[in-house]
Amino acid sequence: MTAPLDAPESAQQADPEAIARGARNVASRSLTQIAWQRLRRDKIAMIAGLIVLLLILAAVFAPLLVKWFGYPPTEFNQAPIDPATGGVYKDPDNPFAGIDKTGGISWDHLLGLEPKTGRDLFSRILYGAQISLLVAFLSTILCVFIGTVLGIIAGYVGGWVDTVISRAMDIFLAFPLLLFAIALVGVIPDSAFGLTGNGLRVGLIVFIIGFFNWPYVGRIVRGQTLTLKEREFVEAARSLGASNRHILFRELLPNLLTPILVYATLLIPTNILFEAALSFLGVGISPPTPTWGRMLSEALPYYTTSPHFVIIPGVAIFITVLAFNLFGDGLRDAFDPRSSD
Amino acid sequence: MTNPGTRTAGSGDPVVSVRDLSITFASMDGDVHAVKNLSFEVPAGGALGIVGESGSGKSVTSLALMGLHRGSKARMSGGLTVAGVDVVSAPDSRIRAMRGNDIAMVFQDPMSSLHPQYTIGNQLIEAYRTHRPKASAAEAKARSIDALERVGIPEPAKRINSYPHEFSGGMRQRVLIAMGLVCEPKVLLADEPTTALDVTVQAQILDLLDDLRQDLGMSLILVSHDLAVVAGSVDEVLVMKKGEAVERGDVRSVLSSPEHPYTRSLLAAVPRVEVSRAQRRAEVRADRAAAQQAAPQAEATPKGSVKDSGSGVAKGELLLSVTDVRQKFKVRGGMFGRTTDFYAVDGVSFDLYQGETLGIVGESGSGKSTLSRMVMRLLQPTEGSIVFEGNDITRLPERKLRPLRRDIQMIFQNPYSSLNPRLTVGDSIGTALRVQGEGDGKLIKRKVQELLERVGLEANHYNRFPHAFSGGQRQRIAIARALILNPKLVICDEPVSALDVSTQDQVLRLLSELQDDFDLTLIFVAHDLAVVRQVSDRVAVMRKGKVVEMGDGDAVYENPQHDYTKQLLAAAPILDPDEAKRQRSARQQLRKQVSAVV
Repeated sequence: MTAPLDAPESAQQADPEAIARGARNVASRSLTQIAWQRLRRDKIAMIAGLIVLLLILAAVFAPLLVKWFGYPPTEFNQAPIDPATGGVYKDPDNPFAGIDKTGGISWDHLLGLEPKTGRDLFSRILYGAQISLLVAFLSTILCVFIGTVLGIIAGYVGGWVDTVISRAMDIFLAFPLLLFAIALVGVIPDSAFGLTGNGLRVGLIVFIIGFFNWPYVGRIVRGQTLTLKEREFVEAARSLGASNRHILFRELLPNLLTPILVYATLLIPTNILFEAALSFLGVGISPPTPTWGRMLSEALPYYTTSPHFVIIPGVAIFITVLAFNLFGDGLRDAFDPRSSD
Repeated sequence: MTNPGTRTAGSGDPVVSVRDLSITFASMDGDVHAVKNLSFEVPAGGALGIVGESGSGKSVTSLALMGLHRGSKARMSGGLTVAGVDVVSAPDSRIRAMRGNDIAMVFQDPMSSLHPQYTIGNQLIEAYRTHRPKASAAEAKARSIDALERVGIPEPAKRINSYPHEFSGGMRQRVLIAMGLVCEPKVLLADEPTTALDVTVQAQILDLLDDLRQDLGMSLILVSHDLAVVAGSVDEVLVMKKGEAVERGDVRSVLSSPEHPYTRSLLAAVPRVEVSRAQRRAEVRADRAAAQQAAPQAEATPKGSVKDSGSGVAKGELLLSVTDVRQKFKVRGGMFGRTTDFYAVDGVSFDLYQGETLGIVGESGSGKSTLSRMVMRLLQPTEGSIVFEGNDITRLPERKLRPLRRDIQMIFQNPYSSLNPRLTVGDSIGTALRVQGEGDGKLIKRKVQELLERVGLEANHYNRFPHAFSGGQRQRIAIARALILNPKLVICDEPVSALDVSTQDQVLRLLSELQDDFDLTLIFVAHDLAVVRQVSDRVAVMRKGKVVEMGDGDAVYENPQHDYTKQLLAAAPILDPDEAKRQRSARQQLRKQVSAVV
């Protein structure tokens, strides 16, 4: 049992004379406005959303933040580094004071220094966020685009078209994506398709993730389309003389936006993890451009002397993925189809 | 097992007693008072009908009687006693013992109330052994077979091993009743037990409940939105509105001389199978004329031409001619997908003349919806021909059909799914003009707003979304959408079956007015005999894809020729309790004859 969404609605139904009168009290909130109201009451989702927003702002304004609070991300700083272990001295002027296990976290270096090279970790994390979020957003957009177009066609047209697209989805999902990515990224030239260096690598990673993950979106869109096209408003549109294009884009697509939005929010963290995994394996973006995954893999030899170098990128990935997931869950609950018809 | 005789003759204490019950839910827009200060009693062996429209709190009340509000966020106050158990304060274990032993519930939807993965025998035996843990498996099985036998399942010893999907809707409802009966409760609580069922099956289930009550001395609480459903089965009736009891009393006195104005309006709204088309039309027109005299400033109504065409509508020109249409569907059967053909509509022919209303009556699966979708050309007929205004539209391709779609429109059954939830009301209605090539946005908006006012809504509803409207209002929006292209023929596919009685009446009146004003020809498809009679000049009765009887409305209703039509008419629920009882015995006679023939 659910309590009615609009209290006056049940009242109108019960009173036969109130058709016109009751209608005047009808709130003209759209479904999106109702969802926003629900989302605002969900504290966890709101906090997660705030973190997501801060992360995006931090990535966008990384150059400014670094200028104010850090050092250029590729600037070497060998002075406080112990050449033997690669650790950071507690006191750069007195190498015999020992190694600082927190990696030299101070007001000067907010997240400490990288072992061996002495680069500023704060600025590297910020620039890493840029790469992570850029790859995640672009690949998600690609997934959603391919998945929506093919899913809606498969669901609406049906028949052999549906069979072909659905089998294609199965094949793409059966592909050993990680192995394929390692093989492909490993052999790419320095320039292709008018792109060079990291631009090409980012483009390729986006392409691989987008091209092989679209079936997840495709399946959801196809399933939703299948149920939506049985609803009477589609028949009503047909009986008014609407073309297939009108039905697909004016009648069906607006109803698919919610599940697509929710799923996209949940797909972003998966793609962040995939990019981190590729970078960790050394086939992602080339150094010296910082990425979180590569930082993790570089940190492994130093985990005894400089544990902060493992912890900080790990926590960054953890917080980002968790925030996106919690926010996506909150969105899904807010748009809950059971309470909006 | 106690003798039913001693139970009824017991201390005379009520089995169920409710005092000042209030139930409140917290929602986003503040508290919703689902039930307010409700009091009633049901004596042992008595029968109470709880009647109200959606949102009146009747289902909340029945859930509370079962103690099912526990653990939810509902706030309760007042007293609620069932067979001596205080449902508000008793411990959970006591409530669990009460359910099944003292009070059993039959739910509305027999399709989803049985577990699909277990045989009905499993479910019955489990229900019994939960309440009688000491009973042996054999005893439980014997008991279950008894219960199935009692609710009229043929060959219960064999059918006990069947799965729910092997039963029809009516049979499933019988199984659910058997499940309620297996522990011989003192009270059977039936919440809209027949709403999801066909008329003939509804009559059987109501008869069954009545028999069981007589034989076992149980008390019955029958919850329904339909006064006519409870009329023949209960002694006392309680009318609820917005969580409050507005009237309570003996069923005869409430139905014959209702005191509360709400009960009166509810009774007036119930469609009566004995009222003919002509009477109804005269009544609607008189009301309309009176309303116009009372409010002469109502200029919105275009030319309040109350035509006095009398009863017999003069035959206009031939508008639609349907000849021997059949619609084949492939049914996949078995594991290897061997398909068999199934004709949903099997050789139907009729002619439709300008200005008349053809009613099509039938139960679920009779092919009436398929037929209307064929005329609409949402489906392409497998065989036969459909000629509209001299054009054969049977096999016209979609592209050529598009301009013709202006002339034939449809009003769909479910106003909740026939409006796109993501489009504003104005967009939904205006779409019709837009897809037919009208590009002037302002003109579209003006036309839509005029029509919104014409169907009893307001021009400023243009920018609202469908979810902000009640069912009746949504159906008005759907009507406006069908009328915006000025169609000649409107097909109404169960346009009021999803609505409450009073809303239903308003929508029917609106349709009747619009038919006069817009000079519409209607095909009115419904399962409700009374509704069809009130709107139709001619009536076709469908069964299993075929028309079994077709003719002038009054003739079909007053002098039915086909056995199936007779059965349908005998099953129609009737408001007069005494008449309903007479019908019940007539049905028993009819059933005996049928079984004798078989």
